[in-house]
Amino acid sequence: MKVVESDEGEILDIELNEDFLRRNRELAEENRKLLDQHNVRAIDVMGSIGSGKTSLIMHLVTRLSGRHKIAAIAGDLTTTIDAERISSSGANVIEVNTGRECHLDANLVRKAFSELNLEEIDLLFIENVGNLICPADFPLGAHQRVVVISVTEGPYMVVKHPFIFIDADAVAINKIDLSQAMGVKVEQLEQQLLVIKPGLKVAKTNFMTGEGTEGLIEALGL
Amino acid sequence: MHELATSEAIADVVLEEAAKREAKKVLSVQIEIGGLSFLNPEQVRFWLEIKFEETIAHGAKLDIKLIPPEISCPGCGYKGTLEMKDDPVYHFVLPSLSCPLCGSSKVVVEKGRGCTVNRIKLLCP
Repeated sequence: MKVVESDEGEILDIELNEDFLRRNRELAEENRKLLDQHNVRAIDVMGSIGSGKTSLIMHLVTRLSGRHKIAAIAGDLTTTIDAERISSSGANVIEVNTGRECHLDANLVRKAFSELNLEEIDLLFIENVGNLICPADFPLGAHQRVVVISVTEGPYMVVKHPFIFIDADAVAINKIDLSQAMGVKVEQLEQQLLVIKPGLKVAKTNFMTGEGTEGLIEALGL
Repeated sequence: MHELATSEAIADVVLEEAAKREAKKVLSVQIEIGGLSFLNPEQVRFWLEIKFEETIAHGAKLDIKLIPPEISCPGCGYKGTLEMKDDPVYHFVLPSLSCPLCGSSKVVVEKGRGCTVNRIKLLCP
């Protein structure tokens, strides 16, 4: 911090350089270290309300429980619906109710860690709150971020929310079985995603049936 | 969407600093918001003005700048703004996380993620 006194001698010009998002980023890095110490890979699942985040996790848990020891942290405003659904697929689930917050942050995830035995797992899914805007500003310490979008969100959702995809490692375009009814071209969404982030891994899925889950598993290298 | 929480944190830091220095008044607050953050400068201003009401920061000049994102390319050494691909049909501009010089997708975001209170001016007795 630098203090500069002005000519009048009574006006202090103070350099603060306090970055409010940095605090969360630093906490996220600590989370990452803790996960690495326990050899746990964590995946942050983001997407709008109703896009299929919970279904994605359920399908991944079902397919991967043979070769991974899996837990999930389910973020939700007030209900335990998502946590119970994921739990039914066989993973150990910690529910984080954010109350009114629109996103999970690194601190809430750290608190959830204390409820988990990290020694007993090697794969952790973190289901973020359904929102395409706020979670992007709050890294949680996960190794990978996957965004779920669905054709029912319409043809313009990628171009309207481009910045969420900048930090994504993989994207699932979900509900592809409804693309014709919705008049949405899945290939066009994919092209737009690849303009925003060349090389982004894209899986086309229908999580009602589980179609495309293997593609997502491959995209995430699981 | 989390402008209120962020503005509260900004107001706390500014008012704490002012109290520590026994200031009579906060004259100005300079804030930089990264173009890749999801904070709307107008909403930060709106909430800050409310948070500063009935405090010594009431009426402080709020200088809020939006910082354009900058990337660097380890491959060819490019350093500069993030390329925006313009599509006049829809009136939208798509950011593209790739090097405008060599096309590499292995670029590093250097600027545009933060929300920083850079400096404040205090009137001290």
